[in-house]
Amino acid sequence: MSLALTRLVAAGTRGARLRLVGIAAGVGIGVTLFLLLWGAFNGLQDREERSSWTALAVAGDPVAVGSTPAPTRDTVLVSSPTERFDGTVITRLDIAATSDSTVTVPGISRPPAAGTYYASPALAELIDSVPANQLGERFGTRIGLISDTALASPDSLVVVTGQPAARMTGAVMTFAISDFPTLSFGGRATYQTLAVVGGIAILLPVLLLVGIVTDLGAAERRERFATLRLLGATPGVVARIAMGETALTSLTGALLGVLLAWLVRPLAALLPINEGTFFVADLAVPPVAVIAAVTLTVLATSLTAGYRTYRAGVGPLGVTRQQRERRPRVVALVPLTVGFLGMLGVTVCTLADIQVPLFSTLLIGGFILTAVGLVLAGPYLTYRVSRVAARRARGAAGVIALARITATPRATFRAVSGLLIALFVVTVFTAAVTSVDASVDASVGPGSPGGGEENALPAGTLLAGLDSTAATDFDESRALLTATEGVRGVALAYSLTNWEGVILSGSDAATLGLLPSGAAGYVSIDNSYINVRSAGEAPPRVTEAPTVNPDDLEPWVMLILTDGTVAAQERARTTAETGQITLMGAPASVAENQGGSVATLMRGFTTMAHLGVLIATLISTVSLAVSTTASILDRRRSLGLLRLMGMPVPTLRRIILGEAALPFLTVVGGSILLGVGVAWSLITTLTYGKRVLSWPEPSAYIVLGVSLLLALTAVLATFRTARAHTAVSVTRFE
Amino acid sequence: MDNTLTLLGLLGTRPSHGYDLKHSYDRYFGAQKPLAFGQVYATLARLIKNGLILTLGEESGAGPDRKRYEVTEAGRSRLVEWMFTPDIPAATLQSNLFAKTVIALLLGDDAERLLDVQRAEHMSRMRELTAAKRGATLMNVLMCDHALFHIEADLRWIDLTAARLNELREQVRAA
Amino acid sequence: MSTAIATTTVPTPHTAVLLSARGLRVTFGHTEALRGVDLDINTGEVIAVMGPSGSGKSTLLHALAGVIVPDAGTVSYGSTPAETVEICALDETARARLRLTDFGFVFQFGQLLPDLSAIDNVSIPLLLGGMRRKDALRQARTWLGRLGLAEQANQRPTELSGGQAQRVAIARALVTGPRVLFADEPTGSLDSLAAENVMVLLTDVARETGTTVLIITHDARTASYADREIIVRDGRVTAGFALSASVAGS
Repeated sequence: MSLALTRLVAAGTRGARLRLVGIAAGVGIGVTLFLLLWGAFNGLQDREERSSWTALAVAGDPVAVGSTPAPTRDTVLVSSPTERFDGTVITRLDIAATSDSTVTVPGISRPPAAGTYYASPALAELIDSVPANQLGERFGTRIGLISDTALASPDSLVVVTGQPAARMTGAVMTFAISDFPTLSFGGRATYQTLAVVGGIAILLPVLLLVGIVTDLGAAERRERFATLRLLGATPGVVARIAMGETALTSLTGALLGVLLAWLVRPLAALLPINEGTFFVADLAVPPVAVIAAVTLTVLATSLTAGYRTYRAGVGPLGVTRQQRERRPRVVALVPLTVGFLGMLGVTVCTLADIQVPLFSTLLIGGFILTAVGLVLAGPYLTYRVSRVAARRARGAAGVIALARITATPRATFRAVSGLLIALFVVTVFTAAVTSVDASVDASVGPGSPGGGEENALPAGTLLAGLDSTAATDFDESRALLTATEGVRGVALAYSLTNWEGVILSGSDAATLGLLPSGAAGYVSIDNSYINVRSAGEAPPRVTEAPTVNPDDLEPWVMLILTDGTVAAQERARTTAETGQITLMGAPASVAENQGGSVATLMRGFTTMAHLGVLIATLISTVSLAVSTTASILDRRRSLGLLRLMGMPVPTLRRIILGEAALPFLTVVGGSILLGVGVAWSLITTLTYGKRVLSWPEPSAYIVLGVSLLLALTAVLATFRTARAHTAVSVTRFE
Repeated sequence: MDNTLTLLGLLGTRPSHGYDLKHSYDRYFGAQKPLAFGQVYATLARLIKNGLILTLGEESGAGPDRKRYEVTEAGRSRLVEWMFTPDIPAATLQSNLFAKTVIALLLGDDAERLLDVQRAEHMSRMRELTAAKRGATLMNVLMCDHALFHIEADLRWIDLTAARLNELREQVRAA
Repeated sequence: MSTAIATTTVPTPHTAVLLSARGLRVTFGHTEALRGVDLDINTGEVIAVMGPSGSGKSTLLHALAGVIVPDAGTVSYGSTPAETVEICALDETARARLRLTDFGFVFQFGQLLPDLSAIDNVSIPLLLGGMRRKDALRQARTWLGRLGLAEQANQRPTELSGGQAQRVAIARALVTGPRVLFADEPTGSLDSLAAENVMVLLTDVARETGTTVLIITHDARTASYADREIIVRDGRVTAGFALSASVAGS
């Protein structure tokens, strides 16, 4: 009997069927996003494992600097100097091997002979797209591509070059290894933490949407259930009907979600996250996990629906007495408080150098508690504020809206909870992303486009770190570089034991514009000349250094002045790298040096953050519109009769606006502050206090503004429905 | 129920013999208590005396009685007066009102108006009773209520009959 | 006793016509709800509108109150030529304002906002009219007291009995001092006694304040509180005629 009855009750009218479609769609979107996020999370791990062979640091101890061990049949010499092109870092492995080497290089098999290289497809494409003297010449002759099985992402820029053993001087950390590392570096907890946090941030609004959608048309349903009860159905039967209805609907939705996830995988793979886009296969979720996800979804939604219906206690006369919400209690604030304080605690401990076990798990837990706590605390805060405001309300719209909020704080808050979560997530991510830029103050320091600064390093200057142990003739490199198109001059900076600062010859100082041309002797300039300066620090001083003995000077950095164009800089790099001098990695600008490895920490998640913001905002907008409409439909008779009595339509609009605005405004400040706090906690803990937050970029405000506009649009969009459903024609036939 | 006027009404549909008249009466109204022949002839005699009907002369017929009777002008206006004069709401009303309605339908007259007139009369009586309840003792209030509920029952019958008038007309005509 | 009653119920002569409809026609799709209604309602009259379900009673009320605009015909409102307005000629905003200031409404059920206390419900029309909340609440309290609900002022509609809820609705309809009160089946959900109490209060207050009342009802006893009744059948007003007229016409 139950199936037929369920059909009758669940899909009897157009409104009821629409509701089922809404639930299925909500569940479907939820499952799709979950599977994609799960896939992406797996994908991040897969790609980390695949690319672990380039992380040489775990391979053992490097060979001593200055020693020149030779490769043997079953060992190779490997180093991984920094390589750059136009602001991007290229993973470069230099390998010296014997011709009969038995060592296997992942993705290639045999090590390349000296003067040849293997490149990843993306890098090969890049090399082919620019003149050889800008990039290709640095590596030699290409003899093949690195296969995908050894690449993190289709976008990975990886090159493996063959080098003569003589070049492997140990200037860059060099390892003699027989096997490439296969275990992941392990230091990626940071990425994983951020990935999980991001995933939760996207999933939360989806869960809220499903919650709102399953509660759609509750009033109408209560009526139907009441009729069933009147006909003799027990509360258990009614609950089972609700369960069955939801189970079938969410199963349909979940299966559609699985299909959709599978269909959009190629599209989702195109999203650059962390190190680049994904291989489609990376996003695959094992069938067991898919089945588990579907089963859990169906179980969770149907049990919730059954429980809710059972708890609602629909009597035979269910409709005559409106269910009143339980009043929210102070306990609702506990999860938020615990979560947020927990995060702060972990951060403070980290700053105080106290080892916290499982700190990333704690952070994720804290984040979840904070986000969920925000949703739980909302109704309580809304209730308190609305009670105070209700007494002071003036107009009819205010009295009606505030009374509604006071009576149903949970329902009214739920309408805006998605938006608040979105806002919270936006704040966390924008605040976290800004931290990258915050420590590098681009407006001050060498190489800044502004120039004009006293004694500043000219813009477009590349710094090439020199291997002081290799006694090399610099004149040849100097001449080659000077002759390179777009290079304006070359200067050699020396270091001096017991001497603070950089020593330059008078003529080089003139080249750099520090002294008038024709100067002789040596000058000294503060170290900050070739480093990043913090804001407010005085410009470097130039002093004469007459007592310097040229024999004591150690070549330290070669300064290559270029015209600042990408082509010129890349040509200069190519020339410097292929010359006689031994470099400590590719020449780089001060900014590039500074950005280094940490710079990419949050950058890699920018796309994910943007995506999260987009999804969260869109879903919340839909939720807001849906629940605003639902709250009007639940009261359409009394509001319709009020309109009949002469209540103007603008008053109806003010009621709708007020009911959305109050819970939002109550919690909006809090969620932004919490977002900043959580971002600070995440960033500070994950970078051990190396990074600080600063004011977000203008784009963050734009995102905020757009989200608010969208929300407003959602509310405005319900005006039409509200007006139509409270028209006279609706009330007359009830 | 006024048998005299009811017989006059039946005669209004078409001239007929006393014998046929009795059978028409029994068919419509005599389900529980058929009319005696004697009563029919006594009534007809009184109607002739009052000038409400007249005899149409004798002719050979099926029954023992050869006289046919027809309603006069005076008889017709008496019928209209009867039909459209509402009765004092009372327990005996319904059968009379019922008779009036059926006769009106048989005569093709405006039965609906008849019911409306009766309804108006009932309503006005109810208004009187309702007004009388104001400030009255509980005893009197209950007495008024007793009357009110009885009248209301009539009114419901009137409403129901009004709603099924077309149906009733078909049946009466077919009978 | 009957003679005594007869003398008390002679309707007081009403001179000024307050609401007047001519040739009202309303069509919903293919259904003709009203097919040419002429009607005059005098100032201070209490009128019962009766008729079978679906006969067009509510539509008539809606047309008279300016809730809907008839497809044909006119509704004039006002007791003197100078103040008379053509309701059908007003736009929706003006009609809404007129309904708010000059008319009051009572319905069978579901008109009170479930979230608001009785007193807040009653104050809503005043607030809509722009009155300060303090004054509105004071006035609402007075009206609740007048309808015997002083103790229920802070209860919500769900905590009130059906009769109490209808009395709150009447207080809300009368709080603005309307000239016409439209009541659509005000006793439809009540038992006999509760219905009676509601009707006594409603008609008493209306007569004290000189409010004209139009009550739609199926219930003859409810209708018997009115000065006269009109009957709507198939979209036409068929009764409301005096007894003598009908007899004289035959």
